[in-house]
Amino acid sequence: SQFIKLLGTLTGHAEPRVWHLAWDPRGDLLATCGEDRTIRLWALSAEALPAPTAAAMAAAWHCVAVLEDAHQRTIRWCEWSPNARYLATCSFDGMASVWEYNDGDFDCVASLEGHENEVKAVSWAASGTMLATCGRDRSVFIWEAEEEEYEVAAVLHSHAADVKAVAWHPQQEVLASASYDDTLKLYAPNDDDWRCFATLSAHQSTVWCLAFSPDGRGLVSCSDDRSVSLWRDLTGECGYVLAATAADVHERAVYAVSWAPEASGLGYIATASGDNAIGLLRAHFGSGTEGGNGGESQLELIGIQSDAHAGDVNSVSWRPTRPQAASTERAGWLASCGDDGAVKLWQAGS
Amino acid sequence: MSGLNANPDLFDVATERRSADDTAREVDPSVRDPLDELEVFEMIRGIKDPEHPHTLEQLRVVQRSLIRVDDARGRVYVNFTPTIPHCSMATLIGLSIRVQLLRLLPSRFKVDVNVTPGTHMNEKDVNKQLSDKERVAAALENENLLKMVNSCLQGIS
Repeated sequence: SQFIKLLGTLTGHAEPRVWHLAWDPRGDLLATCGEDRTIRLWALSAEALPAPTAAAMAAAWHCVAVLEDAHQRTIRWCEWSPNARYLATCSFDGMASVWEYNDGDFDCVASLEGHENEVKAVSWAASGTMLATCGRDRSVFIWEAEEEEYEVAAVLHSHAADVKAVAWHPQQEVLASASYDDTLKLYAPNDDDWRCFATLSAHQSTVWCLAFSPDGRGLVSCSDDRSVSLWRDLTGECGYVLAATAADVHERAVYAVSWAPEASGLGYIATASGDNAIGLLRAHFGSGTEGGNGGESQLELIGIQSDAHAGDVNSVSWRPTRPQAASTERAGWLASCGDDGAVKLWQAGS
Repeated sequence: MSGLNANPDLFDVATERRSADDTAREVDPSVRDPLDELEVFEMIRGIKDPEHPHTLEQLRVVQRSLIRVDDARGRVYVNFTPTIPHCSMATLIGLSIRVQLLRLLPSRFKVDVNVTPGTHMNEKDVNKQLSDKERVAAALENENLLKMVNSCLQGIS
């Protein structure tokens, strides 16, 4: 299929499984983490600028830093702060860490202790002053940052099983989580505390990942049941309802979803699956009205890239695109990682 | 109800062997030899039950007829049958089978290990746990659990 094109493969992680990857908000640095207990940072060689072709550009990407001794066990997730100054990581060792990025150096500036065991995901709020973590202990922690000191603002026990992922609304102070209990939950501040104000049920099995659309009006989730669901905010106040479901998108569990940045102009949703494939979908919002079911919204399957990796694909992420970026070669870049130990760069769209 | 089976039934082990032709093909490096059910069975028949000094084959927890291989698509499906419907060890047995196949099969194979339908009270829960790669990965980083799994995989001495 031609809808995504391989630009290059980055190798370096020691153990087979690369669990997660994250672009910094400028799209200049890619962080990856996995079973080998390291975090790797990848960037474009300075001498390769200005980039000639997309293929040459991918070939010029290389590992610029390896963060070791960060965690005692598998590093499951990593995420950049909105100002690109901090990288948060979390591990099966029960800890989350915050790294400060300064002139090419990374310093661990905070260790967040609180979860009883495996921490599975971490997410920064748009303000950059709040961080959410979740784990096998069924809880979601909200941490508030003040001068690099992180205080627990809330511990939420709304799910009945492992919480697999957390994601903040891009504009509002609202957090969403996905769980082994087959549901998604939404949280908002309530006086001095936080409360769960909605439970979204549609999936038949574990919800592995979730992502908001860049404007926050849409939310997409993916599951062990091989489907992808689209939720739509009909009220403008995070009143998400099920708008569409694409069943049987993949042959096996869908582990990750990523919504393309607005500036890319693509409006695509990328998926990563245990069937070794990457999928591409597009959300179409119908004329849904409040009280309705989301109108005639649709999730259109654009295509499936089979054998994207030689093993499960664990994570996929669109490269951020600056609105002012003149060059087209940055639009529609996608990174993926998998059980084959590889990190791959792709170009989507024509 | 302890969840332990004090007096499990024991069964004769399979005497099935490959034909001479099959064996010749197996050792001929010029022939692409697809994985089959018997090979998978050979990998797991000797796993020791966590609570008895018997193999999973002797207890008829694993059977060749409950294994399915799709070599072309790289899929292996194994059903296992706990000796009693409330067996508290079902997840550990399934995990041992899963780990053994992860270690022995080429990485192109995807393995699904499930309880034989209708043979365990918590069939759905056990299956869901065994198919969750993140839980399995985390479990194998737990030294105590890994020790238990390895002791099952060492078989009967």
